[in-house]
Amino acid sequence: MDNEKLTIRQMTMWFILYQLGSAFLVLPSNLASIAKQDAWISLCVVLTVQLLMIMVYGGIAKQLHGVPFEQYLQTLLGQWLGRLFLLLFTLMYPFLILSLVLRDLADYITTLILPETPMSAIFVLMLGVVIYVVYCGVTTIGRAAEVLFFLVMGLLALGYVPLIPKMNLDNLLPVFEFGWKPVVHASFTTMAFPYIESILFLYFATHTKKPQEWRRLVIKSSLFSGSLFMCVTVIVISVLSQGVVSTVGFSSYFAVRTISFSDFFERFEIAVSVIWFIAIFFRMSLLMYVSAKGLSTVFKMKDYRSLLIPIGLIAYVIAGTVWPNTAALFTTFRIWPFYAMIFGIICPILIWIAGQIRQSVSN
Amino acid sequence: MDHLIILLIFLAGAFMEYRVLMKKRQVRDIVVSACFLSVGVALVLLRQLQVNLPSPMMGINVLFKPIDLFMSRLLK
Repeated sequence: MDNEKLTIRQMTMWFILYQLGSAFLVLPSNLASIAKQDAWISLCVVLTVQLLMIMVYGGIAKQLHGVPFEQYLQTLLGQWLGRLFLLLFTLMYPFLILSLVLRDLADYITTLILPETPMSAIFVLMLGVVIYVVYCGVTTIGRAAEVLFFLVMGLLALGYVPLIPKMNLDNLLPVFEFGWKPVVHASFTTMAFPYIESILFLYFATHTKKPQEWRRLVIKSSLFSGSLFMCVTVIVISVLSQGVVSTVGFSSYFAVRTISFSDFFERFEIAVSVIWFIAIFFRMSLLMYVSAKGLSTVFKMKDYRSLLIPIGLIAYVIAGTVWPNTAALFTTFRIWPFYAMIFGIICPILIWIAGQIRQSVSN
Repeated sequence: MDHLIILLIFLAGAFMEYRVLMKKRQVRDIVVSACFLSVGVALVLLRQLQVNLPSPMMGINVLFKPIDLFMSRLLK
C-alpha cells in the first residue's frame, strides 16, 4: 500500500482541523484565566509570533530540496547524530503529545458526557480508530479531512451563531485593564498548544511541488484557525462574562449549553462534542503518523506500519499515568509551553542555522 | 482485568500484522516492532499489577518550574 500523496486542499483542511483540536475547548478558559477580558488580543499576539515562526519553517522547507524531513536531519547532522536527534525528538515531542491528547479527550468524556465509563475504554476505542486510519495511509486521512471539514464548520456555525444575539460587548470592556503583561503571559499557552506544533507539518513539506506552496498553505491554515479561535473566544467571553470564563473548566462547551430557544431547541452542546471528537481524531492521526514515520526512519525500517500497534500500546499506558488528577493537570498546563518551546522554537531555529551553514560551506 | 483484555486485543492485531510481515520476510521490521511491543506489553502488565509508573510530566514539571516562576514574576 503506497497511499502517500496529499493534495494541497487536503493538507490545508487537515492542518486546520489539527490546530482546532485540543485548543478549541480549553482555549477561552485558559486565556481568560490570565488575560481576563483581553483574551482575544492574546490571540493577535500569538498569530503574529506564529507568522514569524512560519518564516523559519518555510526557510527549512526551502533547504529540504525534496528530501523528506527525517532524512534531511541525517544529511545535516551526520548519520548517527541525526538519527539520535530524531529519536529523542520523536519520543519527547509527538509521542508525548499523543498521550496527552488522548488523556485530555478521556478526561473530557468522563467528566461531562459518560461519567461512569472507565478511561481505558475510551483510550482503546480512539486508539483503535486512529491506528486503523494511519495504517490505511495518508491519502485516506486527507480524504477524510476533506469530507469532515465541512461537517465541522457546519457544526461550529450551528453551535456558535445562535449565541450571537446574546452577546454583550460590555463584557469585553475595559480593554487592557491590567496592561499588556497578562496579554503576553496568556499567549504562551496558546503558542504551545497548538501553534508551535506546526514544526510537525515539516514532515509533509515534500508532498507539495514547491516549498512556497507549503509555506502558503501553512499560513492559510494558521490564519483560518486563528480567526476561528478569535471568533469563538470573543463570542464566549461576551456571552458569559470573563469571571465565568476564567473559572469554568470547559467554557466553550458551557457557553453552548446555555442556548435554549423557547425551551424547546436545547442541548446544542453535543455539536461541540462532535466537533471536538473529529478534531482530536485528526490531531491524533497526524501525531501518530509523525511518530511512526520518525521512529521507522531512525531504525531504517522499510515501512512505518508495523510500529503502529506498539506505539498505540505504549501511548495507552502513558496516557493512563500522565497526571493523577485535575490539579496536577493545571500545574502541567502552566509549565508545558516552556517545554514545547524548546522543540517548536529553538529546534527549528537551530536546524535552519545549521542548514544555512551547510549551504554556505558547500557553495 | 480490564488491562489484560485490552492487551489481548492489541496482541491479536499485532499477531495479524506479524503474519503479513513474515510472509514478506521483512526481518528488520519484525525485530524493531517486537522490541517496542515488548516494552508496551511490559508496561501494561506493570499497570495491571498496579505498580505506580512514573509520569513523564512530573519530570518535566520539576525541570521547568524555575522558568515558569521566572516568567510569572517577569510578567506580573
